Amino acid sequence: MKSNEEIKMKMENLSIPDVKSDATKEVLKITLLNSRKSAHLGILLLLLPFLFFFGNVAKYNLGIDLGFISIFLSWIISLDTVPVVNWLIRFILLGGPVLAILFNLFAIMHMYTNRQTHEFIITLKLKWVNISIILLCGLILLLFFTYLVVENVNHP
Amino acid sequence: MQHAEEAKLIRKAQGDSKYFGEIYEKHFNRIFNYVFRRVADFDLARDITSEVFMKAYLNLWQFRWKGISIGAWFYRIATNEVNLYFRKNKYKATTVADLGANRFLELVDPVSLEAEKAEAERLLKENEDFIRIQKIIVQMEPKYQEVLALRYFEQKPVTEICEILSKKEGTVKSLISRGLDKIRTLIKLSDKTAT
Repeated sequence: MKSNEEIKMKMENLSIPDVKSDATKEVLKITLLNSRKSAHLGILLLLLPFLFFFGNVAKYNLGIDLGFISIFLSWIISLDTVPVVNWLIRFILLGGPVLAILFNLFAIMHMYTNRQTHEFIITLKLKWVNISIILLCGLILLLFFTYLVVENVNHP
Repeated sequence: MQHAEEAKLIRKAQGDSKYFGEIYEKHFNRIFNYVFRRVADFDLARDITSEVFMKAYLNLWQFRWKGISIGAWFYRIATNEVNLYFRKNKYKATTVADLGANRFLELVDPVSLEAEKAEAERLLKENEDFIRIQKIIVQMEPKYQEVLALRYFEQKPVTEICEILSKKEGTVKSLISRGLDKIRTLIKLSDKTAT
């Protein structure tokens, strides 16, 4: 090669490999979009129990009236008289966080068996949005159960 | 796609992930090929591209429409990621397996995945001249690698390279010229060692 011009010509006429990546694209797309969806659903399922619990603590333990949260709380309590709605609320308040934990766990957890080493391997992706939702839901459930136990001990 | 349409789609994608799917569909193949041509390894290209789109997905809310197209933004992330790979020996991209993609592999025909890899490897073997140049380019500093790859592998005009790398036109032209000079020297050197 004698000059930059020759190199330039060679580079401009270089035959470039153009690979197809449709299958790779599909796998990554499903994976990417799946974890974000689980996080969104988790937040939604967490919202009602969180508002209920936070409103309760603020109103009855701290004596703070938080406007719309107090209105939401009064609305929930007023629905308590209809048995079907009462059960539905219980399901949302307790089932919501459980479902949110399951959805988010499935989104970040991967299990497989290595037949060669006879190992069952569980991997967890460090996706902080999903992990935070799982922890927050766990905390809400723990607080609910503690509340129920304390209530039953105090008022058997 | 017109700039106004693209800006609208980005705004939608910032609020709803299904629109990110549209952007992803449009740009994936181009970015995958860019990464593949720079690293010349199918599996590595797949892992780096997954890292690129994961970073784009997580940071899309930060993307502000300031004249730079989303395509150039993807190229910028990919360039940074490939540079990181060449700079750090211990570079570890988020592999598709790390993302939990194994769970979804059954949804995609495994034969297609293997066929894509085999086809890519066949194409590399077929393009000997390309492989020779690629091996020379990866010996250079990343600042030369990126301009040469964008100019000659991706056939991007200088103005677009400036947009992608956020560099001035004079700088890009000078890097291309010096890069070509380096290629010439390295080809001479490799010819000498071969004889």
